[in-house]
Amino acid sequence: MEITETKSGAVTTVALKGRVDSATAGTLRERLSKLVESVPARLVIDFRDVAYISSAGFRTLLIIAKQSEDAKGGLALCGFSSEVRRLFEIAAFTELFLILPSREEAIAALGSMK
Amino acid sequence: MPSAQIRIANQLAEIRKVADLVDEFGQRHALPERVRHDMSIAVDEIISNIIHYSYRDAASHDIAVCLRLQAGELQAEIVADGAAFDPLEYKAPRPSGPVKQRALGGLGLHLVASLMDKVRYSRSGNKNHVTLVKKTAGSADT
Repeated sequence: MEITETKSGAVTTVALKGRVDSATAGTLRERLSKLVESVPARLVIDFRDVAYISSAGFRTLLIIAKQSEDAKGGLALCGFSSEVRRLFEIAAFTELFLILPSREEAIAALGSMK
Repeated sequence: MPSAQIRIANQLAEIRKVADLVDEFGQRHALPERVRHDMSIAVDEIISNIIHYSYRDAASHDIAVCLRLQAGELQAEIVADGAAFDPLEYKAPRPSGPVKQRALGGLGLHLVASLMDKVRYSRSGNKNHVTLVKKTAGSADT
């Protein structure tokens, strides 16, 4: 899985490409943890090029969500394909995150946070 | 009957090879992307569980995976030695609750049950056989 970071003002976007599964979730967790810890952290995770996500990936997202809450940061997800959305619904994860259709909308949502 | 096999060691990093095999086999037989992805996820979940929970020693163990295409179904049979573990016996409640209270136990098996059309388990000798079955046609478009 490839992980690409870009910054737009105060918001960092992490774009993922490939599978988020047992093999890749550990690396993803390390990268996202560092970003969430840098305060103030406003993080967008872009799923546009994600093939699928397994429970290892969901576990990582939950850990990052908890970290982000503790650090009072902002976290938004975007770019879900219908397959990824379906997986999030099965895992009942749609209720845990701010999810926007596009990266632009996600960045705008976090950028306007107080 | 088209089939493909792979044998891996009990290391999480090896699961990638199985996911690649499911993808290649699926593409070779023109299976829909959703079928390939759902089977890759289910296989990842079962093998991760085996690696995390089956073994009582630090030795290397083989896990064998056989893919088959038969009568409109993609089947993955996963064979591994180790402690008996029937994924069907574990009934995970539907996950719920806010971030701070969300527990993740059982999410993998919940995904397997939701994504697969059938899951079969049997034990023979010292080996667990888990067969995952996904229909190849009739699922909604990706």
